[in-house]
Amino acid sequence: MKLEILNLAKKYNKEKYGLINFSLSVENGILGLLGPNGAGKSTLMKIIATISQPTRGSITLDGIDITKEPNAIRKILGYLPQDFGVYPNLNAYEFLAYIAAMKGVGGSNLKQRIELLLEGVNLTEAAKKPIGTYSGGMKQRIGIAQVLLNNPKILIFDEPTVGLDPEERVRFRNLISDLAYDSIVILSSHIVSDIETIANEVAIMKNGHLITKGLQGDVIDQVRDKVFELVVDNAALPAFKEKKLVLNSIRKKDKSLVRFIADDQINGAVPCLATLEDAYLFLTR
Amino acid sequence: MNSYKSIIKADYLQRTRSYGFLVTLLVSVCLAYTFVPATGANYSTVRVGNFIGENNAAWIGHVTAIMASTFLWLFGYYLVNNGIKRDIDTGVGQIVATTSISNFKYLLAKALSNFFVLLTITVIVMVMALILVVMRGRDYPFDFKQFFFPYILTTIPSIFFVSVLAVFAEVIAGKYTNLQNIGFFILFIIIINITNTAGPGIHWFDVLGTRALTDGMAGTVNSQYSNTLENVSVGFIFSDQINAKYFIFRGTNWPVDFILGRFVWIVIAFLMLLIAGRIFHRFDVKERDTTKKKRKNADIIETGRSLKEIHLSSIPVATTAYGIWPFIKIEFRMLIRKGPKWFWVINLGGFIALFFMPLTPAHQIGLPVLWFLQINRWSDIVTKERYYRTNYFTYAAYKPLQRLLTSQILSGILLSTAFAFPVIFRYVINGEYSTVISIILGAIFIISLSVFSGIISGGSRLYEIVFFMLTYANISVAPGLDYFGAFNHGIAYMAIMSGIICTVLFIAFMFRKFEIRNQ
Repeated sequence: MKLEILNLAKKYNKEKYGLINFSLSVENGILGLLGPNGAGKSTLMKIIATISQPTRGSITLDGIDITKEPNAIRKILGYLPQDFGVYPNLNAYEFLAYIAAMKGVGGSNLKQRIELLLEGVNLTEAAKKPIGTYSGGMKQRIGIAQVLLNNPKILIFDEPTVGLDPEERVRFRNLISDLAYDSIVILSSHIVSDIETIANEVAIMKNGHLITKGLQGDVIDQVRDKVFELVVDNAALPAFKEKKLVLNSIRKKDKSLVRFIADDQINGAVPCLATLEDAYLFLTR
Repeated sequence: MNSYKSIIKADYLQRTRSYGFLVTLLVSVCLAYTFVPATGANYSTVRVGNFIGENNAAWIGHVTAIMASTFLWLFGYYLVNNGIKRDIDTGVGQIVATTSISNFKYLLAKALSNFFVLLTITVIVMVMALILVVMRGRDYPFDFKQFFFPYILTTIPSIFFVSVLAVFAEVIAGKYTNLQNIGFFILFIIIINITNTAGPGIHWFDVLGTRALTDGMAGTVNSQYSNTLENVSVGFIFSDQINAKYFIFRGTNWPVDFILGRFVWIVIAFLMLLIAGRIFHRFDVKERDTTKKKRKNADIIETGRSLKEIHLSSIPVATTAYGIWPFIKIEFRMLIRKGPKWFWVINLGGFIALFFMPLTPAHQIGLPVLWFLQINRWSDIVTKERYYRTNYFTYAAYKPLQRLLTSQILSGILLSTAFAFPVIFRYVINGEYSTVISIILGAIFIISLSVFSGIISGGSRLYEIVFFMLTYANISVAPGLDYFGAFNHGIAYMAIMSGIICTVLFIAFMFRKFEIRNQ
């Protein structure tokens, strides 16, 4: 399966673009989307999920333009929006049955399917209680369960780990890895470590543009040998921050251990192993 | 003081900077234009017996102020009675609760914001009335006082009171919107009846402030034609204006008890705000949920759960099923569950009453009232996705327009027809099949109207206002607005109703189609 995005643009008004000439192609596996707020990640995901129309450009799924034939992808789509709601007076089971009907999933084994999904997201005990009484994390898990109702082959997760506790995040990441064997998974997150752990490919966006896209290693290579650590006097720290791109600093009494990016090693600085977060901060600075 | 002004201004701006408000203003302009019928028009709005005033500034000022006061009470309440609810829904309320603003000041700000919204509409009506004076009253000198005073003494205090009443109702019955809607409906009918039938002492108690004006009109007719007319009709009355007689109206004397009465209502409004300030929940909404049911359904706290994972291989293969029956079932279930359970006792009472009341009043009054009681159920049939933010799921579903929207409409029609079952059953027994078809068309119409207004306006408010006015008009036996065959059920009527239903549904489908692709 291949999803190809070609010269996609989304114009909101005269001055504001959500996406500008955005092109990339994805095959089975996990593509992690990174970018600051307003980069266009959610816009891109909404367009792929067929709930927003691009101003121009095309998205083809195995040759079919889904901007013109949205139902071609909807049958095999699993989408978890960033900011979704639920009907508070339905219980989890009823809500999933409702979403299943929307996705065109039914048959005699639907009940069992829903029960197993609820068990998998640890909501069996609360399944008969109105969703209006659920916590944020429980609602998020309902959202994850609904994604899987229809055996999706294209999965879009917009900030999926919001509200999940650390254990649930681990289990969610495992689930995504399992799904990616025969599906396309597109995942956006502000938590770079989530992407770093599971995505085989990474796309970094800024102001509606694609800055870079490639295998994690290739993206990190862009800052290889440029990341250093240095102990700096606290008094000199503000001046240092003005000159260098500081990734983080840890205060220790009068001095601070500073992690920064520079083209050349400076006196006393120790080279460090670059991470995806370093590359992300460097590329979106 | 400046910061307080900023609160009112921000609240006013967020209400008025919407497509819906623009539509409201446009409707207000059209409505204001109809308040003063042209000579020879086939309807009247204010009439003293068979007399209508010549179109001078005094007459136009009085008529438009009376109509504005009545109509802004009628739909103004529904337009503004969600200020606190909006703060709860958006979460702004929790921020407000942590600030130093007092309950009274916050509620006063809400009431003033309501007032300015209604005042904006009043000003639009007044400007339109001025234009009508220029267009239709050019043969008379412009009497500044008799044109503006009706607005200052009747309409403005009236809209101020209803602005406060909306806030008061939200404070005392915020969670029970159905109760608020129905309570206001009953209150309005009582007020209109008192205004029309009470003796001269009414000036002290006339919350609408229209009686002194209509008394002035009746007095003029009686003095000019030596009559003893007391009955002044207010509202759209069709058909026979051509035969009406005209009189020259020079204005009202503004009785002192009337002017003082207007101030009394403003004082009462402030007292209501003081009381509301004492009992306002200040957004500590859950703390107040002390009923048995709420305690039972208190937020679930997960403790000691055994963590499991989803094993994809163990989940049975999904079977495709693109029918809409499961949709209809769940949509119907959601309609049934809307609102408090005890409300079904009232519904059941109304349902049984429709079996045993005399058939004509059961059809003409019982049925529209029972349908109106379900206003909250009908009003968000197609807007709940946006309200509950499930639209990203629903609009990304397979053929959402054909499957989801259709099932929402069908489930609504199923329920509205079910409510009409006793009347339908009795007409079937009587063999009056055309009436049965008319009632079913009415059941389809109220759902189609909800779908249309919900999709066009993006919320439930427009429907609530229109449906409220429609119900009031039908109970008042206003011709031309009978949507359920209470007075007409000929072939032509059925054809017109079918045409209206098809048109509104077609427009709704087109708008939703656009909406689905442009989130």
